[in-house]
Amino acid sequence: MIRVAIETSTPFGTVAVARDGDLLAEVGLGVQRRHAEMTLPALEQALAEAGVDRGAIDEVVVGAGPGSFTGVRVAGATAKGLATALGVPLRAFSSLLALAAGVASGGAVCALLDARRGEVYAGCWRIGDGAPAEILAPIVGPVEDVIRDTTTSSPVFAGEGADRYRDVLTRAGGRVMTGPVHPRASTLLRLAALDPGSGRVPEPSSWEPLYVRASSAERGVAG
Amino acid sequence: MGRAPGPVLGIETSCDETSAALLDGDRLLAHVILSQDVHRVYDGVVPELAARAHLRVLDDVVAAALEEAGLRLRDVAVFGVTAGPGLIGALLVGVTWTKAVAWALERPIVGVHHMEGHLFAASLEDPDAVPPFVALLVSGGHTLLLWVPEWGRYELLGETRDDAAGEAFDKVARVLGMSYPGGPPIERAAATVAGDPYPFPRPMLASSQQPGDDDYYAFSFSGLKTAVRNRAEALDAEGRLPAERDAVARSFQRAVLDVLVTKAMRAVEEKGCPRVLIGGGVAASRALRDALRDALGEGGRLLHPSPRMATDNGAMIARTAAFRFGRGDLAGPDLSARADLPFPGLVRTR
Repeated sequence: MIRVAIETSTPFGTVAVARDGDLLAEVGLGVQRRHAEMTLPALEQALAEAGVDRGAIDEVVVGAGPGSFTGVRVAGATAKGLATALGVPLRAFSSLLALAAGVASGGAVCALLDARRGEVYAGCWRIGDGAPAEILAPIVGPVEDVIRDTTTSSPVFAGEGADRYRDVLTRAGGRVMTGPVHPRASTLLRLAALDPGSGRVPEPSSWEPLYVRASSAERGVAG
Repeated sequence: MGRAPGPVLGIETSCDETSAALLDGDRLLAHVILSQDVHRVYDGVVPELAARAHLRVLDDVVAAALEEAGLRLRDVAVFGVTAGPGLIGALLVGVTWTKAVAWALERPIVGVHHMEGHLFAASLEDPDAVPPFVALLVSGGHTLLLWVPEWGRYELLGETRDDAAGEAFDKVARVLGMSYPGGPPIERAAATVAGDPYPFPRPMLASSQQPGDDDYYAFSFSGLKTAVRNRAEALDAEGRLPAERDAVARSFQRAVLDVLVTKAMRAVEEKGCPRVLIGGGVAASRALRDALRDALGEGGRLLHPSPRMATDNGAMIARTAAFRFGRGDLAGPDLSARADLPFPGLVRTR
């Protein structure tokens, strides 16, 4: 089973190739804001490093967001195009889960990405040896809301959103991961191999990223 | 011109139409256009909503086109996709999706300039719509006057210095309380009134202008829009706007058409070629077509797309992709979209 994964929800974009549970190659997209340009060349490079032909791909795994609206669409459109053209299944995992599952924890992990406008994207999972168990489904809101909603699970906070709000989190008694952690394509592949039933997209043609936040126009009309 | 070795799939997502078409040689095998209606709520296109809608429906739009043509995706020989200009988020959906498909199937891909697409639109329905001609491309984002001696060679005569013509229609429609897009309701209202009840200034148009002058072929619609708004506000203050709305629409449309037609006819005269091609959303205007036909007279020829082919569509992208493929203008897996993509083959001579 050859899987490829695409994760471009943050400036730190990656693509990766795995055979069953084994990671064969992972390539970073490099320069920020050029994900649309670099995703396919990076995938080409990853396949070459792995010695795998594009026609041998059995499954496409995508980081569904939330994150940069354009970034999640680059991953989403690329993944949908690949799945459609190759006639293979599409699987999607939240980019926040990809972030959380990348933390060696053995406990509750809360993934935070900076959503700007004083808000974070947040999602929390209990990460162990088996499949992750969801504690807080992806939301967008002030970091104080996330602290309030996760007090009982006392998670470790990780991601660039946790770095951004380190002071607030620490003052509230939260533990914050040191060092940068990002959602990665290799983590998506590990999640896909861990539980072959997870993240399946029943109708890839109409699949959409997990934006979590409405567009500003919709929020204007709604509010 | 080289020919594509089989069906060309054209994909268009530069604004608020998601479209796919299959073209084999001169035969249009299938053509699907899905116009996003979500923007009506906001009186204009919301870029983020447009991008989301493109990604939601693009697979299904392509599948519908393939079904109409009785083809599978792997029967496509060449992929063409609008790479700009347009809304960057919307463009990126089409470009990244099409790139992935073409790459997976190991087929060539062509990044198409949206406005070159509009140049080719009429030729899909009218075999005579080929150069030489003077081209007037008018849409919500562009107002371009070109001299086209042959495909791929475009001499820029004039363009707008501020708002595009279509944009002026949309903004004036909003001032007059009409729906988006503004062209059709203004045209309907204008048709109920005769003459020119509120003569507005004709921007960039003076009989004293000479060939070679900076503004001889230039357009500007921002001041006209302001003049209409001021007039509408004055009428509103007197409680007369509801009664005079159609008359204002009539005079606004006349002012725009006067400028467009006069400048196109100046080009006809300078180039000694009585053939004018129109393209872009505003080319769907019957009033524009009638005015140009009148100006061209018996000896002239107006080349225009049907309203369906005037709107943003995948067929014109497929047609342009076939032309560019024949020229060897292929893109690689690093193709990206550009909101300000330069017009290929465009030369500024003044």
